[in-house]
Amino acid sequence: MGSAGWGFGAAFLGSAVESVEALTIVLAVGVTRGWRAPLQGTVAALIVLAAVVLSLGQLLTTRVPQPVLRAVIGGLVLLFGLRWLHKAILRSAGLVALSDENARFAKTVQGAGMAARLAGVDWPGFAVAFKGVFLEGLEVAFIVFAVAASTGQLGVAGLGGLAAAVTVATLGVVLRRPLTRVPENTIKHAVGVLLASLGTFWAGEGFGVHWPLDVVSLLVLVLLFLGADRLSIALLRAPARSRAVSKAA
Amino acid sequence: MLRRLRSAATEVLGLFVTDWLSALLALAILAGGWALTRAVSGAAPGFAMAAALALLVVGEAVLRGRRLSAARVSDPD
Repeated sequence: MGSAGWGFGAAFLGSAVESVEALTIVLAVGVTRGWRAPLQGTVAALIVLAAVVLSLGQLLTTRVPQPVLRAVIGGLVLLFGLRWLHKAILRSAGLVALSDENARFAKTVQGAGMAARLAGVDWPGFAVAFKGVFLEGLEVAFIVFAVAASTGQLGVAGLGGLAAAVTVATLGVVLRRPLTRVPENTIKHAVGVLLASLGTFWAGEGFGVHWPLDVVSLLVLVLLFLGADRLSIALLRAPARSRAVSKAA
Repeated sequence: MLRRLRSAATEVLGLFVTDWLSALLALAILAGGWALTRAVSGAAPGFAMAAALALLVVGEAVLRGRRLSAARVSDPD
């Protein structure tokens, strides 16, 4: 499988979660306001996003030395991964509500509907879709660039991101409703572990760490973060279980 | 205009940071890892850095989780 497989997997999983969120927003606006404004907003967001990604990506890859780029991107990917992992752990332990695409859908519908009534023009639908697609797209672009910066395989990472976006969009068109069946929190655990591992790996490379057997070291990092993930959930569930037992007694 | 720019910057920053303390701790661990690579060669600094980050994940989740649990117990509704 090698680093190409890791790169594709990380880019695909990360991009899939973000694509689901963007799709939910576009669907919610489309259902309430008709499809024209959100589709225009989506296209405009994709154009702006492409311009930002192309200009910044080109600048980053040609002007910044590779070790510095790896250290900085590794650090950012690590922060990104730790944030996801933290949320997923608290959700799995039952301390924070599971991310609910239906609730997000309803909230967006309500917001878009109210804005439409207040403004009387089509801009709210456009703006909500634009903002949703742009921000989620920025996360997809970041994941793809981060993967590409380390593996040097922009094609593979881009393919992973693109495959995720196309898969999610196709599912969205077929299902025509929020993708509630996608187990988002499970994916967030996997992506959090992968991104934290990749971020640590790349930051280490940027600092001059010589990882033995490249991918094998990455696997050790994955196991380490997976262990931390499982241990955290077990530690958080234990007091709740003992409270339930003492209450029953 | 300035307010919109600030709001956009906050949203982009929010992609990476939700809790400043834990983000700063993670960055401090990275800085420690970098300092260690100046003194020790090989993979040891990298794995030490990873172990510290994994501990940070556990510690942060347990502390936050206990705070949330305590808040729930004191206010069951």
